[in-house]
Amino acid sequence: MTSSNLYTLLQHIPTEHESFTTSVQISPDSQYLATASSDKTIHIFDFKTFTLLKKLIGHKGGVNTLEWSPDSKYIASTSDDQTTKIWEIESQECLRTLTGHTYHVTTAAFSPKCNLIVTGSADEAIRVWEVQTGNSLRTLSAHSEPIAAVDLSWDGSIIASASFDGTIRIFDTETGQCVKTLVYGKVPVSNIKFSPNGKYVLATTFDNTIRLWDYQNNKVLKTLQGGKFSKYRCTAVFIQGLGQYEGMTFVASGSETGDVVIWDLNSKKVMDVLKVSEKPVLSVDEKNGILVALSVDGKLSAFSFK
Amino acid sequence: MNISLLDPFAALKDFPETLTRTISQPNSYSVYVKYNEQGNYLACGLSSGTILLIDNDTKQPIRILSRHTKPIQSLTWSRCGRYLLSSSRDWRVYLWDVITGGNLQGFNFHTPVWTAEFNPVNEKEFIVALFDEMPLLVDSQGAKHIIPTDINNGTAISVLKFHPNGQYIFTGSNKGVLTVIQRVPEDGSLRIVGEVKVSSSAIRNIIISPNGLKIATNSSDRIIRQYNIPSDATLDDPQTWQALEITHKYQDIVNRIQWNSIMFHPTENSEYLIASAYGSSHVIYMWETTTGSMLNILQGPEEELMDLDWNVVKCTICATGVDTGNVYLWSLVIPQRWSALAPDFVEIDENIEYQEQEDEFDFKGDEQEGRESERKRLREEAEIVIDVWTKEKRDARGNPLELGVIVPVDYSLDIAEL
Repeated sequence: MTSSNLYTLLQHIPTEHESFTTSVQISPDSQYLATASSDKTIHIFDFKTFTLLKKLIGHKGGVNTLEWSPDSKYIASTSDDQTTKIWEIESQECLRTLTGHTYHVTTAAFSPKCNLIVTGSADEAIRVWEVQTGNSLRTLSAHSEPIAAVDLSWDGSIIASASFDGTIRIFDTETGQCVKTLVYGKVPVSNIKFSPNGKYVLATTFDNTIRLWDYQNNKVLKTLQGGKFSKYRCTAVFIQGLGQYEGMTFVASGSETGDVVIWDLNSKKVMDVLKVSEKPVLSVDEKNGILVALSVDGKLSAFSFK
Repeated sequence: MNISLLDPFAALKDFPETLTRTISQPNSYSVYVKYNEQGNYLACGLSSGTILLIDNDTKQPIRILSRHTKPIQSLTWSRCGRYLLSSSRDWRVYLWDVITGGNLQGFNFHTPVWTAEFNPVNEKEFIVALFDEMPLLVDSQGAKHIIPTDINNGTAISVLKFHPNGQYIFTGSNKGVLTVIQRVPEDGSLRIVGEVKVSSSAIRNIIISPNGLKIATNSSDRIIRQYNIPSDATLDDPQTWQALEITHKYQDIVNRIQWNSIMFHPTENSEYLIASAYGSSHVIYMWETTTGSMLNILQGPEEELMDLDWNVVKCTICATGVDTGNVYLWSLVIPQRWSALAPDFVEIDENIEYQEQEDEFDFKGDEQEGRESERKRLREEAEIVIDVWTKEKRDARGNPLELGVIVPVDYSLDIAEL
């Protein structure tokens, strides 16, 4: 099981962060790679050469997550300084600072039209912001513990949120109404992601399990086990199989064991385990057959699909 | 994708009934409104000649298109959603690219312009109705072709409309004559194929359903007349137009209301027709187009309503107010389902006398069984084949589910510029 079956190591990428690293994201146009750290900075790498290009400096607290805008020109970063900032990559300038949350901002998601940003915070609220004006459009208060993650469906019409109160909630973006609540046990939910077609959500819970929900019918369709997630928010991604794996769907997630665990979604089997560090891998991302993973102690590795 | 999660009794209605929002921008007076096909953006023509592009999600302006110097007369979107054609009382017609906010082309007609409209199948062409002159078709090279109509002894053409197939043009005159012009497929020349005497007074609007089978005119005699027209094959036959008969007449017999603007429900077969009322009634009338019966009156604003548009994807009707220049929006009001907040709650219509089940508080010692059924469920999971990639093509209302052209955020835009 430990032998590498799907991916081979491409490169270890040196990072220059001075503190814990929290998030890695590839830009949608596959041009850049961005990392965030609790040293309050965001670093931008070239996705082909993996060289460090730019540093975005301005947050007054550690950066928790970052999110590329769908057009790859901007980054939204969430921070312990209670703000979300929108950065322009080309100019490295901070264009908007979204203030309103009353505690650490933990997660953000752009709408597909780039006109809205949804953020979640440890103040237990979800806010929807207008990007153009930087104003808070509405606040969704439906959770009773910190929000761990939010995501938007591909058409932007629904928001999914994961909270440490053990619930997953689905909201209508237009009205802000909660339209669905999903509960499995009462274990904190640490990550949430819509499937690319928006019909399912992938949720990670602190019982070391990832579940794929058919949220329309309140049903768990797949239960993925084999990783360790009981304390940290480890993100997961959907990966489309290539070559001989064409037609298959994989799910890759960071694990507290310091690995990236990759499952075949339909058979639920662990297909590959990639060693990154001794410390938890908090963030993974994948584009065009290249998988990148970042551990909390700053180890950034790129793997390529065989 | 949200619609299937909402209360179907509220979300799947065909038309809105409640005034939910008023858009008013400081120093701006809207005179003309038009949604794009996806219902994402609303183009607002102002009396100053500026066009505002309003994001439907935030109801905030995201582009300011300024070049016209007099009130906007008409706006049309290209079908792809990228281009906007505007005409104004400054005698000019401009073509805009909404992505950049730039002005691509301008045309000066040296005479007042009534209206201009894109060819629905070819956005490189448009038609324009002019004051005291023959209407024109402007092709992709910018060449102007006269649309032949019978202009004599004081007849003027102030309205025109493309058939959805782009092959026919309808013009309406101040003498109440609807002229049908065909673009001859062989050489592209224009010729009259039919003339219909609609009324004895001027035609103010012509509308046509997206499938091309219904056409309606609004005349100064306070009557909206609806005709069924045959499908494409026989449109070039003059017989078709001679035999054209009125299907329905819409009017307010008691108050004899004049109609400011009319609009078909922009779905294929256009089940409804709406009209804004002239004068002090401050309402929009809605009729059913198959039976001709009146269905609803949209109320709310305290002023006369002028221009109308219907966003079919978001199920919203908008109208401009004559006095304030505000834009009023009627949309669906969807009640919060409280059971959505707790998965084990069920909503009931009235109170139920609680009756305890026989085994409700029995001690259940079958934890073993529970674990067994969980294991069975997990085994069954492996057999379900999931496709997480293929997207739905249509939403729960049957409208195409697509993002369409996206207007990028302009971070440097300053609304205070207005």
